[in-house]
Formats: sequence, C-alpha cells, structure tokens
Amino acid sequence: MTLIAHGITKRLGRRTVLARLELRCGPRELVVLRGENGSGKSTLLRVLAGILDPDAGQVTLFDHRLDDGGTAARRHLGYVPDATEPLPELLCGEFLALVRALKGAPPPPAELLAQLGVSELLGQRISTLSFGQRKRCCLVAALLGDPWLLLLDEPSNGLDPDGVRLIEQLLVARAARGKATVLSTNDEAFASAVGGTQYLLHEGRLTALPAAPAAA
Amino acid sequence: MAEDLADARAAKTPVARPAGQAAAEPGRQGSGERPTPTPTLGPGPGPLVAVPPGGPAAVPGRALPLPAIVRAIAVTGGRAAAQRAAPLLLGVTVVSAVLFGGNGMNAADLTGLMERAPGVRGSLWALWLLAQTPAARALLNERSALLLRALPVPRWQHYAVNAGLLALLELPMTVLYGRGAGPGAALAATGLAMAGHALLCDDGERPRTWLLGGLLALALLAPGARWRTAAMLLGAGVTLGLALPAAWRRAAARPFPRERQLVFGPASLALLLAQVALLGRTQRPLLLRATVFYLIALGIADLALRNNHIEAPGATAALALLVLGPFALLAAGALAGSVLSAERTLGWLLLSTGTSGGQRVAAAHGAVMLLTAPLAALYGGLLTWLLHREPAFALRLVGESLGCALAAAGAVSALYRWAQRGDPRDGDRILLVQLLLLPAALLASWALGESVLFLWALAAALLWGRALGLAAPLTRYGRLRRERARRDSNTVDP
Repeated sequence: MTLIAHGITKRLGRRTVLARLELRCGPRELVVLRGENGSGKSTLLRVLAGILDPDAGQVTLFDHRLDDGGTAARRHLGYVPDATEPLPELLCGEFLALVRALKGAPPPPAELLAQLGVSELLGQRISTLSFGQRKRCCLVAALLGDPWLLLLDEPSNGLDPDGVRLIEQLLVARAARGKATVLSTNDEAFASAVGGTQYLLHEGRLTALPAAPAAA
Repeated sequence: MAEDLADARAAKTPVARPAGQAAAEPGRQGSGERPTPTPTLGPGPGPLVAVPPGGPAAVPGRALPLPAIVRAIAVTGGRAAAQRAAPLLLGVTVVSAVLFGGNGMNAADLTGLMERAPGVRGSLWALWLLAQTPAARALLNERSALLLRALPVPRWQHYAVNAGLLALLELPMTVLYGRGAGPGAALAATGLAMAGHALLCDDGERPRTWLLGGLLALALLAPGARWRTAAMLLGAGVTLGLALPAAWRRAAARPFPRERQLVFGPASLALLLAQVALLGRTQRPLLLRATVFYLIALGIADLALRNNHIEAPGATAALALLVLGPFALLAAGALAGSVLSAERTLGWLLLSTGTSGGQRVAAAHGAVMLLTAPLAALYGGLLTWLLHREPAFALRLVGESLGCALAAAGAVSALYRWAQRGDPRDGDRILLVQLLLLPAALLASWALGESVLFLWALAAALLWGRALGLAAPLTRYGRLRRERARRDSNTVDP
C-alpha cells in the first residue's frame, strides 16, 4: 500500500515545473511539501490526484496507475484544492451529496460534520460561506469514504486557529490508523505541528528537509 | 474519521458558526477571505465609484454624487429585483393584453369593480402584494448591495433610491389606477403597494408590523373613494416612513435562507440534479428566454397553420416540427452553454473522483433535455388546443414535439461541448454551430416532413458518441492536448 510517483515531469507552457521527480508515501506517512510560491507544489498535488497527467513518468497507488484515466486508484484518495471552488450556488449539503455519489461513499458521520463545524452549514449555499467554512466543507468532502490517501493543498490557509488545530489532530490520528497524507504548506507553525517527512520543492525536484518535531 | 478526531482531540471543539454568520475569519496567514465582488456600472470595466488615493476616507466629509449611488443600487439590488419581477410582469402583460385588448374591459371597469366590491379589492391587493414580495425582498436584501453601505452616502439617499426602485416594481398598479381612477388614485395605490411591500420585507417587531398592516388594511377598505384615497396616502406615508428604513437596516443582519436540498441518488443522477439546481438558481433569465423561444414558436406555428388553412394531420405536424426545430435548438443551446461551463468549474472534482465521460455527458446533456422537455410538451399541447384538434392528435403532436426537442437538446449539447472549450475562440465556434445548425434544421424539416425526427435522433446519437470522447479523452495524448489547449488560452481547468 504505497503511493509511488516515478520520474514525474510536467511542463506548463515552456517552464518545466516538475523534473523527473520521485516521491514515495507509505502507510502512516505524512509528507509535507514546502517551497516558494510557484514552485509547483499545487501542480504536484494535482498530478498525484490524477487531475493533471504528467508529461513523463507515472503515478501508482495500490499498484493501480493514476495517470491513465482509470478509476481504481482514485477510489482510495481524497483531494482538497487550494482555491476551494466548488460550485458556489450549490448548497453545502448538495455538494457533499454530489461528492458522496461520485465516490460511491457512505454519508459522512454526523459527529464528523459537527466536529468540523459543517452541520450548521448544510442548508446554506456555498457562495454564502466564508473561505474557512468552504475549506471545512471541502475537507469533509475529501474525507468521505475514509480514503487511504489524503492530498491537501495549503490546508491551513484561511482557517481559524481552532480549525488548524483540528486538521493537525486529524492528520496525526489518520497516520496512527495507517493512512497516508501528502500536503503542501508554507505555514511554518503548521508544518512543525503535523511533523512527518518534509520536502522542499525547488526547480522541479524534491529535497528532504531536516526532520521536524512530531506533533504534541 | 470522526473517531479519529474524538480520540485525538485534546483541544477544545471548535464552535460551529451559526447559520448566516459568514463574516471574514482571520486566517492564520491572514489571506483567506474572498473579496465580495464589487458591482460595476455600465458597459465599461471601470470601478463603481472613483476612489481617491488612500480610499474614500482620504476625502473627509465629501459625499458621493447621487447619480452614482442610484446607478450602484440599480445594478445590484435593482438587477436582482428585476430578475425576480420579470416573470410576474410578463404574466401581467399577457393577462392585461387578454383582458384589456380589443373590445374587452378597460382599466376603469376593473377599478370600478374594485370600488364596488371590497372583497374583490382586498383579494386583488393581497394577490399583488404577495406575488411581488420576492422582487421587493430581492431589492432590499441583495447581498452585493450591502457593500454600498460602507460608502460615504447619507442614509436618506439609500432610502430614496430604494423607494424609487420599489415604486418601479409597483408600476402595474400605478398604471391600472392611473388609467382607471385618475392620478390621485394612482399615487395612493403606488404608495400603498410600496408600504405593503416594505412591511412584508420588514418581518421584525411583530406588534408594530401588525399595527401598521392593520392601518393599511383599514385605509384600503375605507368607504368613499375620496376618503379612501386620502386614507391610503396617509397610511402609506406613515408605514413607508417606518417600515422601509427598518427593512433596509434589517437586511444587513438577515440570516441566509435555508433551501431544500435537490441533489441525491447515484453518481449520474446526483450530477444531473446538481446541474438542474444550478440552472434553476443562477440562470433563471436563460430559462425564461427558453420559455419565450417556445412561446414564439407556438405563435408562429399557430399563425402559419391558420393562415395557410392547413388541416391535414400530417401536414400540421410537419409544419409544427419545422417551426419548432430552430427555436428548440436556440433554447437548448443557451442552457447547454451554462451547463458545460458549470461542468468545467467542477473539473477538479470530476477528475479526482474518476467520473467517467459517460456520466458527465449523461448528466450535462440530460439536464438540458430535462429542462426543455416540459416546454416541448407544452408547445404540442397548446398548439393542439389553439387549433381545436382532437385529443388523439394532441398525443401525436406532444410526442413528436418532445422527440424533436429532446433530440435537438442532445445534439446541440454535444456540439456545444465541441465548441465551448473555455478559450477565446468559443464565441466563434458557437456562432459557427448556430449558423450551420439552424438552416440545416429548417432544410431537413422542410424536405423530410415528420420523418425528420429520425434524422434528429440519428444526429443526436452520433454526436452523443463524439461527446463521450470529448468529455473524457481515453488516451494520455488526448488528455494532455486538451489540458494544453486550455492552459494556452490562459484558463485554469482544475
């Protein structure tokens, strides 16, 4: 049970954003991607989520390829984009119902909705939610079906301190249950709190950073 | 998941925000809140109001010119109200044309009837107040207009502009009383309607609302036309003066409305329902335009059949399909454009969940078909009724109209999927599709008569197959080519 990105190359226009990049993420692992703006963190996460096809290389999850348009590997992942832009005129509950249907997942537990503060938002249009509330709604959507791999793009961005702490706890607890997470962030405090293996993405390649202290 | 949190949480549970509270949350990095869209005025891309360097506060005490605030409220609250009021005003126009057209009633007959019968008067007024309340609420409660309250504008200007726009919403009553009972009665009726709507929008302090409502009802039912006009003017003035500012103030603190959830079921159905919900909530003008297209087709078909004395069932059905085809294509095309653009917005979700091309196509094209089907059935049914044909013919005409509209919706959705790729040349390709498709539809209907339905069905099936490939390319080369085309056109897909 491993996510393997092998020899990933991705060009956006004339710029090579990812250059023969290698990444492995196994059970209980939490991979934190760091890097300056525009370094390709979001592109890498999109490739790992099967949204963008790499120009070269391949991504496999549970021995199923993600970059061939197949659905087998996608059943095991949840993805939260940075620009949380679900359709703004859907209700929060409708968005969750749509994601649940597309993933073939059971309904989210009421307890999870309450803990992430989404229970009260189900009947509201997404356009009426604040950025942080939209982020929480997208996080619940990504957690539907309890996926093995969670891909989070700047998860702490726009969340209040309680929300950030909640995500930290969630990630640590998921790791304890053998689940894997890959996230990107430039939030030093958040990165230190979640621990895990930290990489710097620079000029299309990943470099391991010194280990961060584990979450308290 | 939930257990994870319950187990791992040492810190306090974050308190869920109450419904309706959508204030900016200070992000950890201080950059989370998406800015409220600033309304723009007129055709130009310029800002709403020229702001001096350093913001409005840089010019202390200087108020904005009244025309600027009029335009600003008109393009925010006014536009929202117009969208809500349009169907009612269209209906009123149609009913008035029937009632007052030709040798029918005139306005004085109706106002006279209302004068003589207090029950009729009360009922018509109640009907009007209830029917136009959504538009009045949209005017006063429009969220994008709340931003304008931060501008250096005296409150009386906000009240005056909103009152002016509210008066425009009451135009049918003004015209009715003006033509039927004179200018004084028109003024009183407009004031009463405005006051009633302001009261209905200010659903706040109960005793005062009931008191003012009672005052208006008494004024409306007062005996004697002259006394009633005076009482209506007085009651309207008092009520409007109290209720309009209260409704305006309350709009900023109004909780967001709770709506019924429309999305459920398995993947294809949920996606289809999401598309229908989005169209219903955001594209009402498009739905209205589609209805108008079908009504125009109905009028043309009726006139053509009557003027040419066409009686034979086959010829009648052929002409009905000949007229319907181009209008069905136009109506479906507008809806398809919106549906496909929503599908593109959800691209990241559809790709990361591995939603198949078949599911995408079924949902998007199905939504367009689902929304045009009732219009086609209405077209067939109304045409039979207008022509006074037997019920068996109605079945035939409704069935054929449905077939024509569904095939047209399927075909045009598939063609729009090819044309609308999210790049600057979309408009050219859509124009090309329309320029080719409309004459082709007319020509085929003219040449084949009722058999054109088979051609429509064949075209829809073939194009549907092509749409599957466009929705989800099977090869990596195809996916990369599509992704590059979108990126090169400077649009963001995921």
